[in-house]
Amino acid sequence: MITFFKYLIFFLAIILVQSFVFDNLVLPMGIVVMFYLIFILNLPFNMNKILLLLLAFGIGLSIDGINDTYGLHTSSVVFMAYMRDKVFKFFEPVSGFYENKSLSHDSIPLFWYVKSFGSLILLFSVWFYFMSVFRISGFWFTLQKALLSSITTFFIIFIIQILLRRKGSKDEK
Amino acid sequence: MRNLKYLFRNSIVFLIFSVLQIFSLSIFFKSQTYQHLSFLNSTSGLSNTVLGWQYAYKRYFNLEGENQKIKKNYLALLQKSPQSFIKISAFETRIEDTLYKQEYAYIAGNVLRSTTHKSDNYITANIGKKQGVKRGMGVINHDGLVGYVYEVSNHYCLIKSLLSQNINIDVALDSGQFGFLKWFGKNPKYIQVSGIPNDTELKKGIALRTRGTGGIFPRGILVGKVHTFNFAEGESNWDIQLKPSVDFRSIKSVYVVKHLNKQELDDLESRIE
Repeated sequence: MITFFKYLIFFLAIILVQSFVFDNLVLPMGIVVMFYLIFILNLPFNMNKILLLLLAFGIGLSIDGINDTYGLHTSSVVFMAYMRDKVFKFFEPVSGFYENKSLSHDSIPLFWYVKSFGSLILLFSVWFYFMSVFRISGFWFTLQKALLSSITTFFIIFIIQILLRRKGSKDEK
Repeated sequence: MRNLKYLFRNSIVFLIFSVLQIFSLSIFFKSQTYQHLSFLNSTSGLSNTVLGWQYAYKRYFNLEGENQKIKKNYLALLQKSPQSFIKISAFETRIEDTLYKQEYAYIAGNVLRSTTHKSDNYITANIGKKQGVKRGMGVINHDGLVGYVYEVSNHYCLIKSLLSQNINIDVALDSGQFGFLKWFGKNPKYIQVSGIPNDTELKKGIALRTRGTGGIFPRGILVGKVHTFNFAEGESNWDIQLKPSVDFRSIKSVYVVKHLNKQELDDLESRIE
């Protein structure tokens, strides 16, 4: 029950941060920082896949509602949630990580983190930008946009994750 | 049996994934055409509460009071200016003071949110049905043309800005040649104009204004100035890059244009078959 409320507060806070802070950042080439992906990425590993999809659907709809993107975010984030399991399995270290409950806590190998989170965010961005233009002309421009956007998003999520984790470990001491 | 169970479990995840995908993509593609969705946008329920908060904290950065005052004065002037009026009689134009009748009225609103980085950009403003805003009305501000109203709720409206694909508003040079606005989603600083024949003389900095057909905008509202022009490939037209006079990244206020005789105009035009 406590975890439920923890995640509920996390969910609401992330939507507010996305709409108040990151949607107002104007970056060159129309790049948007999709900070809210941190929610889907940080849910427990061995979570029920159906629940994961529904959560992704929920957060996507909320972001769409605020942004007037009419289902574009929803579609991309549901796609990312669907791929999450497959990507994690693909990059799974030999020792396995299924003992860990959630990603925001200690001892995840950095290299694994970069590979799996990076590729998930990249998948999201490619889906998002190609759906939003929905044509082949200007292919390289769109791809460039997707790449730059995913790199920015990744670094911001990465930095915030490091900050949050450090704070958590201090509290434990 | 176990295999079967596994297969079933896997396929149910895929099934749910497909259902959610179909739902969201169908909303998205429906919104691409000029079809109206009254939910899932910033004119409805929860999200305009969030937008309201956003606006409340943002406006500390603006000189709100000053802004309001200027807007009021501007509106008063605009309603009196000749472009808002229509001549009652084409023959008796000597005493102009009493022979003009107002044709356009304006509704002032504040911008809650605007985007410039998407392939279709919208502006949310805090005026709606209660203030008399209707779908398809034109939108301008003190700098020039902004777009048209795409969606209305009771207190809010969603404006499709010039930075949208298929915007197709007709614009004219002062000499009378006219063309259409296009935008291809690349650079929010410039819009394209097509359809102006390349035997027309052009110069950098020439103004393009609204043509005023269809009763959506008054004639002569500034749209932008010519930045560059080249021969369009395979056509006898100019390929013009236009710098819009409105800065969509810092837009704060808008005026919705209300054509007072719109019904009459539409009724008349609908008789063409």
